[in-house]
Amino acid sequence: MKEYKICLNGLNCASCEKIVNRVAAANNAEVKDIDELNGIVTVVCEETQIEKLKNDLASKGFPERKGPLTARGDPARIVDYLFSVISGSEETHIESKLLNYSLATFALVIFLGTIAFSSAVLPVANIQEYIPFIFLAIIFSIAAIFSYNHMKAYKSLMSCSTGMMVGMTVGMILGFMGGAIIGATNGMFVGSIIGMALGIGAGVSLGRHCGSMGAMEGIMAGFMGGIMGAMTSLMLFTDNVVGFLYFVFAISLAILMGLSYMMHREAGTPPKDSLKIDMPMFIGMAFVLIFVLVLIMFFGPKSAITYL
Amino acid sequence: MEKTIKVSGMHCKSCEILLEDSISEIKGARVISADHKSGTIKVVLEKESIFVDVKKAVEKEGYKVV
Repeated sequence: MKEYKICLNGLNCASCEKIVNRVAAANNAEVKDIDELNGIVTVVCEETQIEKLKNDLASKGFPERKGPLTARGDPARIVDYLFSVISGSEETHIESKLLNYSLATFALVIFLGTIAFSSAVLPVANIQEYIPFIFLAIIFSIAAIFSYNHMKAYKSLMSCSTGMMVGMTVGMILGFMGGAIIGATNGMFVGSIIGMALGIGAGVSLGRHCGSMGAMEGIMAGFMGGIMGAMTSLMLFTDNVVGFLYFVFAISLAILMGLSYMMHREAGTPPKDSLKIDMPMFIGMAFVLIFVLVLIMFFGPKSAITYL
Repeated sequence: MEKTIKVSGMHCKSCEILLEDSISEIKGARVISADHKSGTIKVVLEKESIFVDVKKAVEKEGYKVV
C-alpha cells in the first residue's frame, strides 16, 4: 500500500466528495483526505490500483489534472492551463479548438480587410478614422463567439450557481464591449441599444438553462453592460477614447479568459461532442457579427454628439 | 413502470451522479435520467412498492423527494 496525491478537476461540493469516496471504496482504496478547495485527493492503495482509480474518477467527471501539485490561486496553475491550451492537450480540447478557430478567423478577417481597404471601393470617405473601431469590433466579435460557444460546451456540467454567474459575466462584458464600440461611432442612444441587445442576448441564452433567475441575471448584466459601455465612450470623447478602449478591451478579454479557466477548473473536461461548432461555422458567425457591427458604424443612425 | 421523481436540493452534475448511483443499487430500480436543472429523476421500477426504497435512498443522501 502506498499514499498518492491526485489533483482532480471538477471537485466542488459535498456530493463530489461522496462520489470520490464511493469510487475509492470500490477500488479498495482508502481516502485519507479530500482537499476540495485545492482539488487534491490523498488516497492509500495498491500501486496496481491507482491507474484504475484515476480512470474511474475521470469517468465520474473528475479527470486528473496533469502538471504540478499546486494550490488554488497559484499562478503555476494558470501557466499550466495556458500551456495545455496552446499545446492542444486532450484535457483542454474544447479551449484548444476554439483558440485555433479564433486565430484562423482573425487571420482571415485581417487578410480580407486589408484587401478591401487597399481597393478603391470604400463605403465612407473618412474610413481611416474608423479603423481602430473596426479592429475593436473584430476583436469583440471573435471573443464573443469564443466565449459563447465555450460556455455552451460546458452547459451540461455547470451547476446552477455557476450558470448564473456565467450568464451575468458574459452578458456584462459583451454588452460593455459592444456598447463601447457603437457608442463611440454612433453615440449614446444607438450604442446603448446595440450593447444591451448583445449583452442581454448572450446573457439570457447562457443563463436561462439555470431557470428564470439565470435569465434575469443575463438581462440585468446585459442591460447594465450595454449602457455602461456606451456611456464610457461618450465620457471620453474629448479625451483619448481609442487608447482607453484598447485598455478596457484588454481587461475585458482577461475577464473572459479567466471565466474560461474557472469553468474548466470547476467542471473538468467536457465530452468530445460538447462543442457544437466547427471552424466554418465559427468563422461564419464571426463574419456576420463583424459585418453587422461595421454596417451599423457606417450607416446606422447617429446621435448629435459622436466621436467620429 | 416509469416514474418521474421531483427532488429538491440537486444543484450540480455530482448530485445527479450520486443519486443515480444510489438508486441503481436498489434491486428492481433503474435510472433513466437525472437532471439537476429541473430537479427531476426518471426511474423505471419493477414494482410500485420499490418507490419507498428509492425515496429512502434519495433522502439518505441528503435530498428531499417533493
